[in-house]
Amino acid sequence: MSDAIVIDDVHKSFGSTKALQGLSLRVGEGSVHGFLGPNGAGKSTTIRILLGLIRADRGRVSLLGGDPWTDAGSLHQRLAYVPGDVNLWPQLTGGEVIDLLGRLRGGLNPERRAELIERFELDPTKRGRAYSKGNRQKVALVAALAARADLFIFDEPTAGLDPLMEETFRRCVEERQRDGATVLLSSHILSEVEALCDHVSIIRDGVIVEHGSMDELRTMSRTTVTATLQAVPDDLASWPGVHSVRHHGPQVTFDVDDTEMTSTMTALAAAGLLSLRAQPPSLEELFLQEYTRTPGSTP
Amino acid sequence: MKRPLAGYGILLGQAIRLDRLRLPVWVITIALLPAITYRSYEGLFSTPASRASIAGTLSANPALLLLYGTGRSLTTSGGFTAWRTGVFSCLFVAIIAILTVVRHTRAEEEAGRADLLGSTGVGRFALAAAGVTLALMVCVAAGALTTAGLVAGGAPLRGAACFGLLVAVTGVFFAGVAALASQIANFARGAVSAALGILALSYLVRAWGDATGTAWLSWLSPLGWIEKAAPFTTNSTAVALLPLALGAVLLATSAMFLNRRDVGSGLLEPRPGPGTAPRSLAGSFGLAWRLSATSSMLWLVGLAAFGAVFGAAVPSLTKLFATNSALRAFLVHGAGSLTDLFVGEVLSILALMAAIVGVQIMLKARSEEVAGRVEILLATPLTRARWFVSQLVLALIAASLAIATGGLALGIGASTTGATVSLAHVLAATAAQLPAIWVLVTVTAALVGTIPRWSVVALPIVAATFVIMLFGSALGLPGILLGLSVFAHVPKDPAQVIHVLPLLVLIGISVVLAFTSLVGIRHRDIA
Repeated sequence: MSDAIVIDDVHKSFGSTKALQGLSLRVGEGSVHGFLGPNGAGKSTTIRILLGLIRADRGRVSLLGGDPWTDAGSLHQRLAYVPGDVNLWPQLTGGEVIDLLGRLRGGLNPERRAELIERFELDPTKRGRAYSKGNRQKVALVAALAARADLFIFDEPTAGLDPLMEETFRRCVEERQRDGATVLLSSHILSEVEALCDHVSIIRDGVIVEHGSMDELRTMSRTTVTATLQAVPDDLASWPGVHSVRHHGPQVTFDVDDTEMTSTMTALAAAGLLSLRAQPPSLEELFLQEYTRTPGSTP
Repeated sequence: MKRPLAGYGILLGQAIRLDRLRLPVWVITIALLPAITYRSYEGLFSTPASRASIAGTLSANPALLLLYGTGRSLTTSGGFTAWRTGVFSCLFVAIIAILTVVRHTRAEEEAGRADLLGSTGVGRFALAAAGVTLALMVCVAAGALTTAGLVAGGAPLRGAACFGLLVAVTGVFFAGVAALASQIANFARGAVSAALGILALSYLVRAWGDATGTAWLSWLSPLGWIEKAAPFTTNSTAVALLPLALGAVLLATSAMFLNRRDVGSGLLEPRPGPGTAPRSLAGSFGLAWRLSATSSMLWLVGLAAFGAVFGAAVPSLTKLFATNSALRAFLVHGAGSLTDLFVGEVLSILALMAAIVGVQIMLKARSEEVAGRVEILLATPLTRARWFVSQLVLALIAASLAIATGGLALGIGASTTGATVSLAHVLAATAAQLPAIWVLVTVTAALVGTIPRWSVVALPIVAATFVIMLFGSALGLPGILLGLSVFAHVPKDPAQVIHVLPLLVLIGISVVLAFTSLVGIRHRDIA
């Protein structure tokens, strides 16, 4: 599998602000890649470099095999983009914006356009200034999803949408993926990332602090174990890999590092295990760990 | 029912805080203009002979007469100041009154903040009342400071007070116009356009009234009232009652509308637009045209009206000046007749307006970029160079069409009313203005393309060109400074021989600037 996006040690500063400090990111062809990070971590800067709107100070960037800065015109024939903050022209209707962006891409399929407008329940006759935030977002989504693109870049695309429309968006992305498209999805909505993405990269302070497949990420964290024991060992809290022990009579709840799972289970069995419930870490916990971790420390 | 003005004090305080920098700058500028004019007149022309001479020169300049209106007691510092700055002080105070009212009423509603306020127990009239109050405070401050500035400059109190009063009440009248427009229009843009449109119409009506000596016409124009009050001459302060009464009626009417409508709605409900784009909205040029079409068309109509009005006024003015042989001897030099000279002055003003048309369209490239609407365009196969060139080409075409329209209207207006000027000569002189206009447009393009932060100086550059062109020789500026105005290098009137070389140089400069802007836009980050 080749890579649709390759970013290698990219730096970008705005004045004295260092937005990106050696960011590297790979997005495989055909994958749906989640791009997460706290506000101001550099997500939008990365996306704007990928779109050729701004130029990296140093480092290598390749998009669909080309240079996004010099080959923007031809590369964008295969790309569709939805910004996080959609600004529409006050005097143009939503339908006009969709047609304009479609024509700039060399024409769009009228049936596909009609179908998407219906699915997103968009009124295309309203003027840009009269749309709510969610509806402006829908205009940009219809325009992008109607495009026949190999790569979709979404920057927090569902921030203003209601849950029903979020669902519609998910289904549309799944359809695009089935057609073989690659998706880079920047989002704060973890359930969305969990449902759609097969790979995730987490950015903090301009560098990627964690990346991998969803499964890999899950195994990198702790599992929450709730056990009922004949006798709770006194030294449980000091077992290697065991954290935050909570007692409820014969029942005990604690978190355990995945690397120490085998040894912990063996020791638990020796203590007379009556019942056991193990919960994989929710993504929520995983991301919160990454968001709040101080740089340089290990999870 | 809650009290209709509940929360008024807090909202007014907030509005004052928001505008604490913006408004003082305007007010001080408005107040300084007459004071400085008064001082410099006192200083520059201390002898009666020099006063008579400058009064003759300036009041005899036909374009200036139309710009400023009919002068009175021009040999006194006060009369001169009232003539020279009166209409413009009123124009500026009207503009700031309009912008302030709309900014704090309709614009707040459009942004959805009125809903938020309404939910907190703020009364129905509080927001609008706070906005109008702020505007009225600005008018009073502008009037009072104008008077104070003039008195500080040595002007007699009575005349200064009359001048300041008329400035203030003209502002009050336009605050009323803006308040009503804010109730009728659904969006701030529409309200501002409507109120500014009435202001522009007032200016044209006054110019026409003064040019043709039709007194009742200048009475119709709110910008003509300061002339009627004649500060430093008759000091007819009673004239101020007219704008005050009309302003009160307008404010009362707007309050009535406000009482009847829903928050967020206007009398003019926006109709749904087309669900699909017309064929013309296909590329970056189609988009650029669509975004600037309405304002460009309005400018074209404005230039045509301006050209036609002033063109039609040529014969009567020429007659007026022809009776004064001393003046005639002073004005007519070289090949040009009085008519040619006058047509040339009007043409210069038209050229300047045309340059503003082009510069504004070019600046749109920057404002669209800052508004974040360019990003979504450049994410399509549209390249940044192509996007930028579309905007530049449209700016050049619109500016060229604007001067052509204005020049044609001027030529036709003049020739059909029997002025002794050939239409062909007027059109040739019009065409000769083009290279100068192109330079101003491409300077703006170069700023936007290479140092976008500096694009705010584009309009001041045009304004400086305007000042040098109109007042340069009268102010005795050195020739090198005069030469900085691009219009110094194109023929000033239809009788002048058109020299090709300076025009070619200007065209060359435009090409270099356009090229520079393109290199710039291809190498800089897009905001």
